[in-house]
Amino acid sequence: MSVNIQFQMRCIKELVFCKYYCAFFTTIFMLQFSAISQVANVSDENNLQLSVSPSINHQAVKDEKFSSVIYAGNIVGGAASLLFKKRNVSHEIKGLLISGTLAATDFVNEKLNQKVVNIDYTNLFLINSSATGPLELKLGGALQFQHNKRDFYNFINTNQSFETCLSLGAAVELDYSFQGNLSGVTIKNRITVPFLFSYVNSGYPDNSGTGSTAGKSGTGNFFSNNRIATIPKITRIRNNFEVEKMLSGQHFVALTYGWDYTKIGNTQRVIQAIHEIGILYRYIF
Amino acid sequence: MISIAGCEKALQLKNPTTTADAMFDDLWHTLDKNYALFSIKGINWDSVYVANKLNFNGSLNSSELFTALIKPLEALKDGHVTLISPGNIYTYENFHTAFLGNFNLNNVKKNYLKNIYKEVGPVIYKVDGDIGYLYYASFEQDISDLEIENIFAEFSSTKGLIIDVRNNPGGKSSNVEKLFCRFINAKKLVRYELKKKGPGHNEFYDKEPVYLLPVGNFYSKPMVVLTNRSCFSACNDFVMYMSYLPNVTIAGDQTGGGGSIPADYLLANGWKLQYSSTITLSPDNLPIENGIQPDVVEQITPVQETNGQDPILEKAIKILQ
Repeated sequence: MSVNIQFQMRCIKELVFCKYYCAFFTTIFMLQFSAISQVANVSDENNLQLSVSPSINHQAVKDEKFSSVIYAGNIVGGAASLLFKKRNVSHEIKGLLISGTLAATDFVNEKLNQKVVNIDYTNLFLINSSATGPLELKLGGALQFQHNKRDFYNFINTNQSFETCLSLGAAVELDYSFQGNLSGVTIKNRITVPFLFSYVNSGYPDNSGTGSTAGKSGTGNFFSNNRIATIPKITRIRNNFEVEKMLSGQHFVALTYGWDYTKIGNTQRVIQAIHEIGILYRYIF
Repeated sequence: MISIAGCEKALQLKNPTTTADAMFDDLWHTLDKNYALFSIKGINWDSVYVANKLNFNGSLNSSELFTALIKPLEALKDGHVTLISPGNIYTYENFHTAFLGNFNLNNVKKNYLKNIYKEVGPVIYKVDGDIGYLYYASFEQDISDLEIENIFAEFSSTKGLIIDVRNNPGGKSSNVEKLFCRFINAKKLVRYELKKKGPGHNEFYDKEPVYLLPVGNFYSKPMVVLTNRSCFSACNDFVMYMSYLPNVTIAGDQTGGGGSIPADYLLANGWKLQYSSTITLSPDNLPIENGIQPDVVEQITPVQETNGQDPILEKAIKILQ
């Protein structure tokens, strides 16, 4: 294990200097967790779960390229996920889309159209020794893709701003299944903290809509223009809380509450907070 | 929940204060980071801060604050710098108001077009004998490709063309390109753009070349472009593009400049600040911020204007004849 840790540390150092190690490092990271999972083999439960979750999101964003003022509002969103659980290991891929109009705080005529796209892969491993008990502790890694796009209304020429970010981080989940009268009710809380980012974002406002430079600052150039960053240059913390009730052996519903903070600490900062309340339906195949 | 609130505070996700001092700082720092033309204009922005910050004395009402905030803006002498509050708009206008107007559209229509012309959106045009005349009022107003195609079909029999962009305040680059692309028959480098890379006054990315491609039937005959000090921004670009064509003469007064691309910023009190966000260079790497010099300098005196004369237009006709 110590050899593994040393190898991982060496990888981190190399990443600071060379962004093209990112994919390689991701692979190593996941393989190591796969190795850990061989140790804690305590559950025989295998299943595939499909979840869908519409949500209302209170979003606030301050994009210092365009404004000293916070834009905020309540906008709709939706998420869908597929979770494959095998013994004590789970693999989940989840897509989230939030889109709507935010208004500048105190200046409601100033608006922007915001779109948030998240695609996350989370790999969790059951850590505690009593998987049949009410409490489960899961640890793992998360590979997250996040794209935020903002179009400011009534701004001259240069009104678009975006961040596209691929990140690697750690995830912790705590599940508690009630017994007795509340049997069938489970609360879950997962916190995800990325620590390594590959990102591209719009810089200073400019006009890239004419001539041969059109589209140069778009997300299409992610793989050629991306930069590597770690905390604190980019800070992101996400938390998802669920109260889940089993309806039958295969059907579950849940109330969800999540928050997601992102801060990109360039000279032109972007700070974003999303609070999400939703209803989730889960089907186990 | 306490930790959540704490996170939001730690992220500083809150609106800044809007006192007069804070607003001045907001405006000054926004321009300090984003404004692209300090070096080209030779402006010491720190001195502007010191000179104007000292004028603040206690709280100001909205009108007083507006007056106080435009003082540092006046130092920029930039027609792309604008401050908009609910009751006031400030824009630097001296780049053209301090000079002769050199244009009277009524005189052109009445005395030169004889009130017989065609009008398509922002364009007035006429074929008079073997000379064509095209006036584009503002590049902010669109004209379709088909409309331009039809206009140039009528110009096909002319031996020369006068393009009058006097008093054109600029507008959309797309309209400039729509017109200009009729005058080239191959891909052409028209400008370079320098975009800000960091907060320093000289922090720019490498210059980006901008090329345009020909569109429609190529108009290759001699042309005279009429200019005055009110040719600004996108119109200034158009005149610069045209000045690099071998069959074009620029006649009239120097253009008003404004080579930069403007951007908007919402200040903490909801007022909108517009500023120059880029530097535009000609294909010869020259900044065009201060305007384009004509090949043939010609002016309209107030007496000539009163008499209905337009010596700039007359000069263009003479050049084409």
